[in-house]
Amino acid sequence: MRDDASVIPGSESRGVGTGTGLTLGAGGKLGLFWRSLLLQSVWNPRGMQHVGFCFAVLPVLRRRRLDGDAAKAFLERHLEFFNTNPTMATYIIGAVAAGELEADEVGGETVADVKKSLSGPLGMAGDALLWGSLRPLAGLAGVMVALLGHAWAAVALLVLYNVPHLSLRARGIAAGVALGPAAAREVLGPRFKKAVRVCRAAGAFTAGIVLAVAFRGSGDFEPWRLVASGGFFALAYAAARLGIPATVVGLAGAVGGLVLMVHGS
Amino acid sequence: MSDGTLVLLLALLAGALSVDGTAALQLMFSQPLVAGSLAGLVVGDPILGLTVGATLQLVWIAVLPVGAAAFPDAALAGVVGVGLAGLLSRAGAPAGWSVAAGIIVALVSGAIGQRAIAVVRRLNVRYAAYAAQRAGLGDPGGVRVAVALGIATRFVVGAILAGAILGVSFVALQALPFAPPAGTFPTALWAVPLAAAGIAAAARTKTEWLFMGAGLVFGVIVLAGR
Repeated sequence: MRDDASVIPGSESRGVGTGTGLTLGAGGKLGLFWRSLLLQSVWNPRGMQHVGFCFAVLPVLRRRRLDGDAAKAFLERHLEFFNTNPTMATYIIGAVAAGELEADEVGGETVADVKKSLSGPLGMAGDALLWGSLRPLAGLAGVMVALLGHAWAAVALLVLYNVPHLSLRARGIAAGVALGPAAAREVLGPRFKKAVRVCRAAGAFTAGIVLAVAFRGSGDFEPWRLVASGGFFALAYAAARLGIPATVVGLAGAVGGLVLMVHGS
Repeated sequence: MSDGTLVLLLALLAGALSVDGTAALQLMFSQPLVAGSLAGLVVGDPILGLTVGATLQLVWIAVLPVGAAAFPDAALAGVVGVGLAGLLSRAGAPAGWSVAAGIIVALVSGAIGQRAIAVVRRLNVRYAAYAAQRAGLGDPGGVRVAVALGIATRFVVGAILAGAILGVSFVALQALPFAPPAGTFPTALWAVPLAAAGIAAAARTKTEWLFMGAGLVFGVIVLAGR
């Protein structure tokens, strides 16, 4: 994750000019928000999120009443290759939509430049926070609640993940529309990196608690269970370092568990 | 409710959750703990849903669905695992066997679903080409059609896979030439160390290892006092 603002084009610009006089109100931002949720709908190996991105900014085409060659140019511009973290994409969608309402550019930069320069850093930042930190933390917290015997474990997972996730999406649209490409500065700085570190530490701490809760619930720390689990941990750790898929290791564990069950019965 | 109706409902649930997994929303309803809980409500056994869902959640806790990376279809696995365990329980199978069969078939389903995601993404290339063709004429309708097709395809593929795997595995397990074993399936014994190993392998700093150890000590102390 890069934390310098040098990747941000038009950093000194708000990205919203005065060409057409059109602006995005609350309804327009809400439209961008829900369309951003469909960003990955046509994900494919060639253009990746390009169709979803074009779909997200389509209301701009209607607002500007573009047709003919202008509409063709608009659509082709937004059907170019695009790929980033889907949540962080809201910063780019907001900035591009607001800029496109004014002209065919964003803060003095071409749309292609903005998308290209921001998608990489925002993708890395979003993947680190949402996929690499928040999702495991929410999953582990949900499992911990389940192991403690509460039926609302799934709700805990959903709330823990979606409150920051949806807030970040809403913030991305609002900041992108208001500040243009410079809005990305707020998620590429040291404060964001710190948030990732805190989330990862919290996830690791929760993993430790889950370990304790699981053993307490399944055998009151019987010595043979500790030895067996320790051995499996070592194998699973080695497998993970070697790049062996978790599904394969999980299947091995499940079959081993089945053998133990049959032997025990 | 007949077994057939139950399989149909579970298939529709799997289709909807598969959409959340890759094509739209991504609100984590596709996570196995959530998918398993919802499937548990459908089969009328929420505790079973939690048990299977939490186990699968632990197995795939460190898997990152990033960019072009291949990742298991956790939503399909969650629904299939709980659905199969529920169907077997309704048929009178011992609880431990139902859970074990559900989890093993779920893990295989996750891998099958992973291949299916790749197929759907190749189909998306065609939808994107259609969108681009219409765009060349200045028509934005192609983009809307492509988005609708992308979501619909993901739903249909998820639903068909879930229905097929549930149906085939249930019939096959019912036809086994031996009596299902009794006993408790020890999920925590392997799933929790697997999750801890995944988290540990992904740990970037010693601090994260320390936090995991601190969490373990904290958990033991708190639980010992209860």
